[in-house]
Amino acid sequence: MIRLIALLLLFSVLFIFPLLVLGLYAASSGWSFPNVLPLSFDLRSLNYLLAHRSDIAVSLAASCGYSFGAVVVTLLLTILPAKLFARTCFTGKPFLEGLFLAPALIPPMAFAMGAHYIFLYLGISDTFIGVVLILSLYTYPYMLRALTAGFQTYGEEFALCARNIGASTTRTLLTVEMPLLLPAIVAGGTIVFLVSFSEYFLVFLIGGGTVPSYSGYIFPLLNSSDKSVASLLTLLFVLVPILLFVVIDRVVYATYRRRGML
Amino acid sequence: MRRFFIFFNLLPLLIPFLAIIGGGLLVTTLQSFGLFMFSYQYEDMFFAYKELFTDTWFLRSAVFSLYVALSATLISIVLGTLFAYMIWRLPARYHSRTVIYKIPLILPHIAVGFIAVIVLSRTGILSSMAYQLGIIHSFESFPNLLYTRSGIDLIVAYIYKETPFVMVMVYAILSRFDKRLMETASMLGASRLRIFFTLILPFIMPIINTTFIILFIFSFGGFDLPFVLGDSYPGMITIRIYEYFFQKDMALRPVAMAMLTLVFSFSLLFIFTYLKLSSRLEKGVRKL
Amino acid sequence: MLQGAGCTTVKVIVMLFCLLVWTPSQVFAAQSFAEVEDAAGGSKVKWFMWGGSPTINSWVDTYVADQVKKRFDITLKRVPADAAIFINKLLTEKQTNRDKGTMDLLWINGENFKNAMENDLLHGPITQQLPNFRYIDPATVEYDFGFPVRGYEAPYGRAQFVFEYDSAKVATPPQSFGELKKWVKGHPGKFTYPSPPDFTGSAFIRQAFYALTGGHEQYMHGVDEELFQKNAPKLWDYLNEIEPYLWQKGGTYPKDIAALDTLFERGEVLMNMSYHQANAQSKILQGRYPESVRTFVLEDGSIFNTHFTAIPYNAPNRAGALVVANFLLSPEAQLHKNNPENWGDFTALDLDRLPPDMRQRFASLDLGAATLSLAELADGAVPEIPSGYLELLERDWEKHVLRN
Repeated sequence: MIRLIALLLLFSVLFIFPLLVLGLYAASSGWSFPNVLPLSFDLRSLNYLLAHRSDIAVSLAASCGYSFGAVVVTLLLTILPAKLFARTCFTGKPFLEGLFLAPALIPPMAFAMGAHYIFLYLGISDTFIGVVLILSLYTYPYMLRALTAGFQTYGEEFALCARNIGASTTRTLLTVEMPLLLPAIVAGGTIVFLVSFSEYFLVFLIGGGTVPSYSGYIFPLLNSSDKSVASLLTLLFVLVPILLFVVIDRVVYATYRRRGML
Repeated sequence: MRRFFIFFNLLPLLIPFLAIIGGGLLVTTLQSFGLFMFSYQYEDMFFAYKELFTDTWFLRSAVFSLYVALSATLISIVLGTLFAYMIWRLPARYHSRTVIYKIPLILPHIAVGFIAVIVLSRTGILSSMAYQLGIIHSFESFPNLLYTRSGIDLIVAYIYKETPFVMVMVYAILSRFDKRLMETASMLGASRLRIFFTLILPFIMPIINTTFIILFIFSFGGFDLPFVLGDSYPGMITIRIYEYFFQKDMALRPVAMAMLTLVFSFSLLFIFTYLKLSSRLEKGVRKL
Repeated sequence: MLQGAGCTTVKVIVMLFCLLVWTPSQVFAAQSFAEVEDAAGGSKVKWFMWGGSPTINSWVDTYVADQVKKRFDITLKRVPADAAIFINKLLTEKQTNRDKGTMDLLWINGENFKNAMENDLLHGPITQQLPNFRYIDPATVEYDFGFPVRGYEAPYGRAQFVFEYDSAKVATPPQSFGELKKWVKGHPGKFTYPSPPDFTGSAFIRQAFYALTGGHEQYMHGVDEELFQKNAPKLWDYLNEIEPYLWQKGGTYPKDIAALDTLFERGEVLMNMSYHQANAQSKILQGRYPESVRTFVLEDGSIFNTHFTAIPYNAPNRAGALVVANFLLSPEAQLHKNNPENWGDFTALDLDRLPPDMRQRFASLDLGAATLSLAELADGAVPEIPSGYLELLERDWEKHVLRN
């Protein structure tokens, strides 16, 4: 028990402390050396938030939009290959698996700048769909891995059983395979969403300032000398994924736990 | 027929992969040789590479980036493994209560960069605390942590982001370890330290290798974090690439592309060499 | 009798002819501008501009956006982007023959303007079309960093380089670059400048260049590479001499003016610099600077320049952009902008060309204790250097000072 508390204390200091500092900066404008706590608190950063609420809301919505779009696209891209990798053996499989992991292993800048040129000629640079596309190609390895593991876990027997009793392919897909696969989809999807939502460079490069994004909105403020507003907006940045995880955990995982499937 | 089946199932991923990632890399490489550069014509195909290797700044920046990546990754791995082990040794019912270590995982890189600036600066919270404790008497005595040639601010920021990742990976593997092996060893008289090094460590080595590769490349080629943290000279290589691409004359773009080509060639080489080396040490265990 | 009538007819014809030919084109401009305003009604304008100052961002997002919505039913969207980056973007768009771009209005000047003009990236000329341009003295906007404007960009503010310091901490600020060197050596670690190509950092080394090589006139006649090579070493020597006494011993420079602002606000350095004359007052009013902050200029002269707006060649909403550019030039907007409570940016208008009541309102603006008087500023004002030199200075600073 003591060990737990000691460990928790250590983790709090290391991992939560910076967020607390952010919170304090957000609540006061004049905090400076050598005060360990701000001397006065004010609502100036909150006022800024309210005054610019429509801009902030638009960029948050856009970020959620293209992140969710990336989840959908990565799902479509990887679901068939994942099934293949999980169930079939063929020559060159390890090589292909390694190859497809490329975006997670080489710096995204390397292909993104070349891809930008291609997008320009295709006319999809500065567009929402272009941003979704580049984010999908950057984050799909996570979805691929999650889905492969998911397919490996439940095996073909369930689908075969259903087909044997007479269910059509579609019915099997919807009522047997998808529910079994859902935890994996959610696991992969949350990572894809998170990485896309937090991404600055790719969205800035392909989106060109035309596609709104929260990371693009907050970036100049992080560099400015107004730490108070920047801190509040950073906390907001973190809040969205946290809310997402809580909701997912409550809605999806709780259902699965109740049914004994997790 | 089977071949076709395999091919058909790979297509949804293969086509975008080849077009965008393969195509992207191809364009980067070609542009580094002055080709596909819109209407710019270059006499010397290799001018970009010559520029990089004759001027010392590129090499200094590359070395600096390698140094930052290596330090941050090594320290993260040591810390992360240690913390994961400590959690795992707790009674099982307490494991989930330690979830707060996952917070840096959800923080965007630009946020981590920003946090590093406000915590580590000379007039920031650490400095204020040192002052209150009487360790320093003015902020000038507080060491320079930001924007230094030692890259310590970058390293600390990357450690903050990477350690929880290591913890997650190592913990996942550790949960598969049979605790009874440890009990047996301890009954036979092995010390805790000995148990760790001879039993646990070899077991988690594969995941440590994987994690090392991922994190090393990630911190070497990362852009968001150093961009917010701010750097000067020689700085991280990705920031130099950004400057050449966005801020200098378009005719100099091949130089940015040359740097990028070298960066990703290095990444590939690194992965390949590392895997070859470690597979020699443990045969047949799945790495990635 | 016929002759008399013929004479009158001729006189009338001549008069009409004179009226038609010599009526200021502004009258015609005003007539067709109403059409432009109509066309722009209900549309959206994207204004790409530097986003590093929350004060300016607020002014654009609240006052300007509100006003253009109320008056012309235009929805203004400010997009933060550095000038070098959006010029780069335009270049790329031109290369790929993109006829419909994504930017309507740009905040631009200096070498970015020159770059844009040399590559045919702007639509124009535009100033003759703007009714409010009649309040500008054309001579003041003939050249932008030595490059002929030819009406391709519309002015909207005037900036002058000033230094800032806290009078409670520094008793007597230096009066010249020579004294500045002594001051820096006497206060190690308390001074620095943003690394070029940041706009303010670049302006600082330009100022030093003028002061150390005998003034600005020699550079006003086009770029003379030989002259530059002869004089530049004096600048590098000076900057390298003070380098070990700078913040962080010159091992690193703040990457932009926002970084230097942070250092100054926190008291890590004792002097700041700004290309906005009323920036200090504005920050005092916001509570970011203590009340004792003051500004000064060096007797070797302080550079001034004008900032402009321009329209890209492929702007999707040209009409809207013209209307916004014109509004920015209006006396009401200029007055509002000049007030340090809102921004503090000085006006580009020629006060003599304004109606008397407007002139009065400008004269009675309280620019605050921290801002130097117009007379003091005008006294030391020197024009900006041709941008060719600017590029040489920025490139060579990296070589001779940063990498040393």
